[in-house]
Amino acid sequence: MIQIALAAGGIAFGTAPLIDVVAQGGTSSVSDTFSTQRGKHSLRMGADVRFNLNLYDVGFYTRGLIQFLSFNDFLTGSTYVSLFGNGVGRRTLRSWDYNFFVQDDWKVTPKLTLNFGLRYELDAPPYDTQGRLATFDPGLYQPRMLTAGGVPVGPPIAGYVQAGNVTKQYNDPDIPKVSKYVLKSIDPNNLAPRLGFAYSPASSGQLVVRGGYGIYYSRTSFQYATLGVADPPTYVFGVNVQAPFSNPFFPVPAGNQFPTLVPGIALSGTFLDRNIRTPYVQQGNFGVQYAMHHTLFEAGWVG
Amino acid sequence: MNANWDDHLSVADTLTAKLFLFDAPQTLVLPSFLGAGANVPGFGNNQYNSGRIVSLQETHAFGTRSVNEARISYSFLRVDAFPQQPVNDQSIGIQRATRRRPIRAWA
Repeated sequence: MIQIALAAGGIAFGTAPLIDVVAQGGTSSVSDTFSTQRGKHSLRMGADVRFNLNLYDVGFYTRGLIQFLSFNDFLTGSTYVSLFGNGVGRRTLRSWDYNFFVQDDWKVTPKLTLNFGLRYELDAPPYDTQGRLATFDPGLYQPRMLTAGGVPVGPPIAGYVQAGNVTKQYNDPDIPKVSKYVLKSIDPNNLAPRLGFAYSPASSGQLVVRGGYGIYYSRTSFQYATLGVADPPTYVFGVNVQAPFSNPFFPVPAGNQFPTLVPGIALSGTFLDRNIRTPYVQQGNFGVQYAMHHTLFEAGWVG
Repeated sequence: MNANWDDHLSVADTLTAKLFLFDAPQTLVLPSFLGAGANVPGFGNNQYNSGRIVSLQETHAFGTRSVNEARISYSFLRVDAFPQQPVNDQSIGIQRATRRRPIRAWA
């Protein structure tokens, strides 16, 4: 990809940096729900087991990017910034979800109905079948003490961790192994209660008051694991400034040399937090409905 | 392709099947990719999209007060994207884009 004065409305031509992509995703699920009516109780209970997969092979900047500040610079081959990436862009991610719930709609009196529910979710984090997951843990960071002009040279002594199920092909012996999820916990305590009521105080039935509250979990997407594909030690971006056009790119290692931490390359990236939890929201609602002749007045709050 | 099938196996049992298949090849003249693509024609890409969704559900009634619903399902999506005319480094005068180098040279 060649970019010429792009910030000033110039042109970009060539192959896009993120264009080589093979991606597949799928979910298989088995679920069962049983509903029954017992007197004043309407009971429902169920279970759902899901298997998620995400396979992809991507190349970030594997065809390079060269920026020129002006058209004259382009004609004379005076590059500004050259960017080149390489690494292991392939992942075979898997995850399992286990969901269970039970709920009861209890018609206490003709004027009052109560709703109780409890849901449990174990949304196991994704893992790679070859263990090609790694991240940077700030709590383990130990900078390399060698300096050149006050700047640490080479990658840190410690800070990176890799998946415990990493295969021999992708294992970097200098990087400690943690769980296959890389995370510190799979977050198993995801109990989600739900409460609700509907009450009609007047004998005419014209007034109804409703309310409810619940906690709702939702698994994280595979995105946070995917973002780390372009991070060290499985990937590097080499940046050169004003390099000769005949050889503009930083000499990144060949693909079969990864994972590795390459000296001279910024080890920055978008790393996943090892303390990540299953996200959830708390949601409540309250509403009043009043019927008068052929008109219904309604006021509600949702938060 | 979309297909739905409902069958009342008996008074108490109903079987429901759903099938959805699609194949959608595309040619993108100006592939954007977060704004990082070319902004002039001539560097398009081929993108192949396909998907499969299959679902099978059985509903069984236990008398008039109880119902059981069992379901298995499968979904699959695929997206492949490749440039039509990749620009090679040699074609614009770049000698070598990568070369092997000893790793861990700092150790």
